[in-house]
Amino acid sequence: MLDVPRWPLASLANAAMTDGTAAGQDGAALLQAWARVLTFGGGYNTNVVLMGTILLGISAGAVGSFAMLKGRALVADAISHASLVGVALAFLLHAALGQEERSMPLLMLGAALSGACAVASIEWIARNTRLSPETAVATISSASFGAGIVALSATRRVSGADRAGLDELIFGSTASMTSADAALMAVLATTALGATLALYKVLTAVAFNERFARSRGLPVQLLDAVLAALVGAVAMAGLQAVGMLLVAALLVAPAATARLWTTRVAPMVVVAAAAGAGAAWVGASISAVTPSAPAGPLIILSAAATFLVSLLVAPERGVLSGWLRHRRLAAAARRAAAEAASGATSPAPSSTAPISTGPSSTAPISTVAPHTGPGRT
Amino acid sequence: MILRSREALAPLALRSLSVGYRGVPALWDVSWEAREGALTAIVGPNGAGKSTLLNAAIGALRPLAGETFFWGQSFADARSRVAYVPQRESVDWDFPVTALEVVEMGAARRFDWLLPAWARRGEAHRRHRMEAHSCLDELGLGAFADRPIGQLSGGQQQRVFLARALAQQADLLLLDEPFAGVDAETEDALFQRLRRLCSEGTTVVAVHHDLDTARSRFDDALLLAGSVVATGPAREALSEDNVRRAFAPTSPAAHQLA
Repeated sequence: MLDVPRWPLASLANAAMTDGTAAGQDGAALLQAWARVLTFGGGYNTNVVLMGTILLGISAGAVGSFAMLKGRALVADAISHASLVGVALAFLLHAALGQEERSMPLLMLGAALSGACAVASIEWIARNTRLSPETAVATISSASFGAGIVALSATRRVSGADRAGLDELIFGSTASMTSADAALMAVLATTALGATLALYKVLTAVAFNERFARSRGLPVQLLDAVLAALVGAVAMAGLQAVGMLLVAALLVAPAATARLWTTRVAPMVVVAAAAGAGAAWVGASISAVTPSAPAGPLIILSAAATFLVSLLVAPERGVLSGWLRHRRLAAAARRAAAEAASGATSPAPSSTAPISTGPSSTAPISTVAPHTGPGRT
Repeated sequence: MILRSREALAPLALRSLSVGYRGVPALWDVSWEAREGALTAIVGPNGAGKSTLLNAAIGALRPLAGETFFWGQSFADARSRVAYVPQRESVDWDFPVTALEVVEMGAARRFDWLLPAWARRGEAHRRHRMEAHSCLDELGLGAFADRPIGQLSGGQQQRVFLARALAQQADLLLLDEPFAGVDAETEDALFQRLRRLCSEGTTVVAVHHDLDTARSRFDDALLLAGSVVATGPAREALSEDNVRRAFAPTSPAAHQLA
């Protein structure tokens, strides 16, 4: 199902720069190296990082599915943008305490705190003002990213900032990951995955019909917070491998892909997890053999390619199948019109007619007064 | 707390309930009781606070003042005996669930929520599934059980919601516009089903838009226009005179809300 690129990107770049023969040999060598990494033959550290990233992809697919179903896919984006402030501030704090080595757990904690602040602000705006949730997300997301850039520029005055590779955290890089970093990522991702599967049913109920879920006594607000925390956990886990800006796409793209192929929640979560895993597997392994290409963008590009192909060829909801259905129906309608013109009658084609009748008209209001309120209360 | 005996009995009793949005009153000083075993319509112009009343009753909206009792208890204590059906438009019908799965959400009891579907085995699981199936069958949706809800017509979606409420086996049904977007035949079938529930002792309170059917099909009516305009047997409460008062722009209720 995954769309695997035939050549690693870097080999194409090489081919453009050197003569044909050398590029051919280079390309063949790279392909071999890539195949070795893909099949987990790339050495201990590479394997640990690759497996950790795949776990991250599985977890992002599952958690992202529920975020999307809840209509909160953009919250992932806000969390990832907001985490930059926290990372930069955590680094400054660390440096002020006289430490020079970067500490991933501390950076993650900073990212988590600022991400939580962003989510809390968005929820508050959405609940207490008339602004739409998208407006709240867009405002908070860009404002906190601005704050993050300012904080980041402050870190450049501190020695050691380059070594800490803060820039790498924005776009993601597996090259600098130690196996301890990968283990931390794997633990976070697995925890988020486990919690999501355990809460599968309640999360579905709340996402489908919040009022009903509340009337049955489910703690709707707590579950909203839990879902945001799960999204945050995946974002923190992906901070290093995928990068804080791109991790949002890893949460959304596999879920959107899965929705195109499935009509029920459980299969959707499984397909999303598989799509996330596949993207992580392909992207991280390409990056392992071409160190100049960062893992984050490669992972996201793989996920986006899968989405694009699905968008075209998915059976029910795909663009192609919709176009074909429309053409068949139009042809049948033209035939009916032609037959009607020649005197014969033909019934509507039941096989090609859409099953759904769409939203039917609402009942008329049989009243006398011209009350035109903005909506029912 | 000492309760008057009638409040202790009524399936739904509102006492001086007021609700507002951002400083604008939506419902003002409403005191009312639903009669046990009756089919009651809540009628009123747009913005009269009909849906607000139901949402405040089940605690989805916090009232400015006043209280709601279910058989003399709070909603939290009476929850298992009350089924609430929201407006059809309040839900994303493209959500990836089947009709059967929606109805199973109604059949789920307290602890079932913690067990994912694939983890449930045995007697309880089979019973829920059968309950859900029979609720769908009752409303003529048996053949649509495994259909994604997005592929159902508006009337079928409304019936799925009612089937979910039936699966809750509640003593009080609160329905928000259950007949919106429903064809005449389906409306007839729904009324018959609700009538049978009432004859079995269930109390049904439905927000309703059509005055004619409100008079002819319902036992009682609550005529709202921000505050209570009239209550009682449907034909009397919805008299021409009362209706004119409720729907007039200068009704006392509208005046108070201005």
